[in-house]
Amino acid sequence: MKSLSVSGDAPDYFMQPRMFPMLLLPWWMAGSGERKLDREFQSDVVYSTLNGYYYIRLLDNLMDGHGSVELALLPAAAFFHSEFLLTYQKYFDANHPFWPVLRSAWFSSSEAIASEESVVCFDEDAFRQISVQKLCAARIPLAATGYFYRDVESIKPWLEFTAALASWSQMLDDVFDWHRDLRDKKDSYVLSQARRHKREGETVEAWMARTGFDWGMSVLSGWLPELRRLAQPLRSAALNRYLDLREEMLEEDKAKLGAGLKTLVEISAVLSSEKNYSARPN
Amino acid sequence: MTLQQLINKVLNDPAFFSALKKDPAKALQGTDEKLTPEQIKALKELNYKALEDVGSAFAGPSAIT
Repeated sequence: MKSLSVSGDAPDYFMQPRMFPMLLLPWWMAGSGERKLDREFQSDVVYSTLNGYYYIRLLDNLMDGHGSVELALLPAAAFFHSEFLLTYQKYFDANHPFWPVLRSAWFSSSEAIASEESVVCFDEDAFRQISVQKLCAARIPLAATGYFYRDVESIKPWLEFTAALASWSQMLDDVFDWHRDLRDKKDSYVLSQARRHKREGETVEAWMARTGFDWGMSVLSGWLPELRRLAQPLRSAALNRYLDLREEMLEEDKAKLGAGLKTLVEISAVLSSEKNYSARPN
Repeated sequence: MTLQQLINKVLNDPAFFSALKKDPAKALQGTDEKLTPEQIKALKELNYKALEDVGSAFAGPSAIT
């Protein structure tokens, strides 16, 4: 848990602005209605979600095949899984409609982790059905929040928004992790696009620097209006502020990192021009 | 040095990355590159400040999921 965080402090990992807001979504949902928040319930939701996240992350790292300490930690999966699940037993009896939602989301998430290994080429369908589904366990705390506050009607629109945000976040992950994924021999939607669209003889690295990063950032910008549309009926000022922040960060990254990659392309162009320079008469 | 080699060196070799930002010609001459004066001049005109965040964004620990 400490190794995931750059500072070595686990909370810092979850508080990074780029992180998928799995802990904030149920908080925003609870706060969107005019109701008194139950702090104990909200705290339990955070605790359960953290345990669920570590459980999935442990399995995902092992399945990726590049985990370092994960095999030794595997028995801890029993702790994470139990704590994730048992927390909700305080609030919902065995026949409560919350449990089928949990079962469906939890199984889909595990199935996505298992399927990812066997994907030959990540097209957009595979991206949405597999990569994005790894985040679908985020549906569980939202369903719990809706049922706990007896606000069942709000569950569906929040789940729709969360599914769209999961796609956006996974795409962001693919765009920013392209070099780490390439190094770890892990396929992704972005890398499959690179292989498909690069010029003959061009490497994936060169395509990403020349055009792939800009392409990925354009896709992300293009998906933002749909997130805004789905967020509108949720009436959450905090969620809208979050989307504003993400849009600002995206624009900043696009300009800053795009310029950095352009510099690398230009350095390479200068270096490859050696013959031209050498061929000039003195 | 190809663009692929340059990117991999920038993202995997922090000492090279740091040297490249300070003095690109010197950093590249430390590799197998034999630079002409024209190339050194052209390299000095590039925007190295833009490279600042490339290393942490694409080579550091993943900060998203």
